[in-house]
Amino acid sequence: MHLPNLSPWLLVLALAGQLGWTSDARAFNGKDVGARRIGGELNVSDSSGVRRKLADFRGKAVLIYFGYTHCPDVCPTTLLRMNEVLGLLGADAARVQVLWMTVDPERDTRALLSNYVPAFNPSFIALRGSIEETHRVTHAYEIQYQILHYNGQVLVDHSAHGYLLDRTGKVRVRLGYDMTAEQIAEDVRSILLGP
Amino acid sequence: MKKTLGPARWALFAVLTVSATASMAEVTVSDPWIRGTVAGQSETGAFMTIRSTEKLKLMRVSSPVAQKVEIHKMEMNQGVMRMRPMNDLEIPANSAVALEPGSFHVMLLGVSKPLTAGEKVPLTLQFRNKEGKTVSTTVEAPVRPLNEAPGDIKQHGDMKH
Repeated sequence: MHLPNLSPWLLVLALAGQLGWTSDARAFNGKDVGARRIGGELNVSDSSGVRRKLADFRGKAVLIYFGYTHCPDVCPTTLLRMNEVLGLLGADAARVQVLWMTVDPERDTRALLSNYVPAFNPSFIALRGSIEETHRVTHAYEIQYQILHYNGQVLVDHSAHGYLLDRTGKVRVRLGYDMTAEQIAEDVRSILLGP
Repeated sequence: MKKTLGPARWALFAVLTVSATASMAEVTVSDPWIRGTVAGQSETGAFMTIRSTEKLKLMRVSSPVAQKVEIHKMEMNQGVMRMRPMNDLEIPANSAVALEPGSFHVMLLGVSKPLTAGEKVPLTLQFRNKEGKTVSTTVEAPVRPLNEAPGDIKQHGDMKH
């Protein structure tokens, strides 16, 4: 009597394991917040005055960050990194939309945003809400910000993280400020495999 | 005062002498750069590396392109970024202090015209030593394009003869 050949079974087990891993516990470099109710409808103007809703970006993964143009450090670094992410994604970059919303709409006029945000990448869209809309959207996306007037200058404190939304507009991954472009690009690729 | 040109065209090194007496302090300001601005943007950051042979304090910075210049510190507090003005910035002896994204920067406020890539902007730095003597030096900081990652600059700037 021969011993049964186990190798086909091992192959099946290995495949099952792989499938299970990819469909059930897709690991992101950022924090998986898909189960949380973060985000929601934008319904704010872009820098050319067009009202923007999440449905406008249906079918694309969305990267969204918040900031202000007078920011010398964190905001341009983030926008530079987003440009790097698109570069890493190659042809898939066409399936991604980068959104950048100001938390300082009083100083960040539409004209200024139109000059500033596309300077990093012409495909980036700047969003600018009224004060009330800014409160609404930042609250929904769990972004903290505070505008302080100090000694004749304006100091803007704000959350440095962003989010990755899937192609249906659902917030899936929280992207910490310390994440590299490579890590973010990997998460975008994972999201593009899904809905 | 002696000026030495760095290896790359834009890298300027300003070397100055704090006192002509026995203790000669040499301050080197290397790789200065300013983040470019677009029309309507009245504030931006300037970055550089400062090294001194004697402990000094950077007291103030001025520039003809800005109404006001401050030394700022960037802090992250539970994921929230904030910038805060500092009275001065300590430069320890023989230890480089990098003013770079993620730490300190020189904040240019009330910039009336857009600063475009390739332009050179004078920055005058004033230091004070522990005896209270002040010295100042002026560097020409090149403006980098908004869409150029600072990392690209550092790679060149670290080259030494």
